[in-house]
Amino acid sequence: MSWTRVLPAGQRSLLVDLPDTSAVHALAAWVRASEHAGALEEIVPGASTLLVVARADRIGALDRVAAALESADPSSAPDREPRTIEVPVVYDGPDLADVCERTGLSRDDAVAAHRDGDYRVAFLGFSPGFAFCCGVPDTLQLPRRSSPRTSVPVGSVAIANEFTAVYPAATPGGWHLLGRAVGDPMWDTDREPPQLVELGDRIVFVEQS
Amino acid sequence: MTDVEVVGCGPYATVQDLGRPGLAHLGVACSGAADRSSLRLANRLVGNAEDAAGVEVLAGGLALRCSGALVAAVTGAPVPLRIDGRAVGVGTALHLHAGQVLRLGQPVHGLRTYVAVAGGVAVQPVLGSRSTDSMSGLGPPALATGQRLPVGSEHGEASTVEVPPLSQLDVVTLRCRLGPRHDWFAGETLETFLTATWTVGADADRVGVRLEGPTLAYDRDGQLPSEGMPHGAVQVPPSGQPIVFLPDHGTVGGYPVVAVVSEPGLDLLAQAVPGTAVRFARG
Repeated sequence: MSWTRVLPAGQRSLLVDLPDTSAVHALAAWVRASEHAGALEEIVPGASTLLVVARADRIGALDRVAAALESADPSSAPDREPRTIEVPVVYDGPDLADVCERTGLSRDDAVAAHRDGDYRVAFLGFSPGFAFCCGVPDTLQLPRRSSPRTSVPVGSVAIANEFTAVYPAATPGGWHLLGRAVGDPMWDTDREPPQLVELGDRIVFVEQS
Repeated sequence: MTDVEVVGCGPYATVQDLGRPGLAHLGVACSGAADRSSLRLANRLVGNAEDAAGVEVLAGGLALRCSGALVAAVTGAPVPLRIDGRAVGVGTALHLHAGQVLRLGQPVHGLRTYVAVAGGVAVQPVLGSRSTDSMSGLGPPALATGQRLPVGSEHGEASTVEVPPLSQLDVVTLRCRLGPRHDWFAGETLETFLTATWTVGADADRVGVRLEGPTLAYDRDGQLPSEGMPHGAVQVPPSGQPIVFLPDHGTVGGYPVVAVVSEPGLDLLAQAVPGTAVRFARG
């Protein structure tokens, strides 16, 4: 298909450039259900790309995978019904005042803008269970902080550009912290599956006082 | 069950196997031994499956006391090695009696030494692997003096061969393929990338190795949306100084990847101390 562009990414990987997140999700679902899945070690969605990595003992399959990706018909992929996941949030983050100043929004308007956004899980990455959720309203979008924090508390609800996320663990981070999630953890290795949210799920932030 | 007591652990020793492949879409790095061929070799020498967990020892200093009879092997960065003070060799199966202490000195050259024990280090796996992921904290914490490591019981016959120690390289050559984002760089910049001699910087860990050398400037403006990062990705941040990703690297990244290094090269890079000369070669 003309809307995919398959790029080389080393001896056992290919990177597919795609027009948008829904095309990424469709192609990821198609690859997972295809006859090629058994030859692949990783299928990694990005914001507008899909990385596929062949198993070390199946590098020979990569040419066939590339040809298949070029001619894939993701409309035939099995559809997974996205879930709606409610995330309770206390909006008392250390960057809330700064975000208000930089966006010109009042505290209540900034909180409402974040709370009422229409969010979908675009992809997971950065750290285990870190879900990049797209859909931050234009009025609230800010680039990442110029100086990242060395440690962001687990559960922090944060924004950067068009994405919002809940930090699944205490990690370094450069996003603006608006509040903290107080519900089920985003990531728990003792839970099956460990991740709370999956690709395509709708996220609804519920304000707690 | 036999176990080993950590009686010395040097600056940074971790349990590593071949990691957690297949979970990158959840943000879980593969992790596992930085020099995979050395861990595999150590496992073969003691009669383990190649993917059994051993100890990755950064800059030497590990000392283990075994509670029962134990077969061990030491590979990777060569170190002076003693059992209860008696000098023994790397690259061969070592037979220890109960209570004996295997002690590693500092590497003669190289950075990471691997210790396999017959039966494998049997700490509790997390998501299918016993590896410590230094970035996410998955897996067991780094080893600490006084800790006891359980040792598994399943293994085959130990090998009777002795393999030569890892050789010291004046220049580490990393075979790579250009892409996926080499079109972010002008042709002459790619030429510079492929012909320059780079130096391993001080900023080198299990996540990646920063290389110092000429500046690789972008040939375009704009930002790259976050995308999946394969092992060995050579990512070029705005500073123009490339970083080669090792096993604990983030699963996605937002800077262009000019080339991807093939896996044998990554094993060599994992042994390169700061200051080592590095060149890239296509192939």
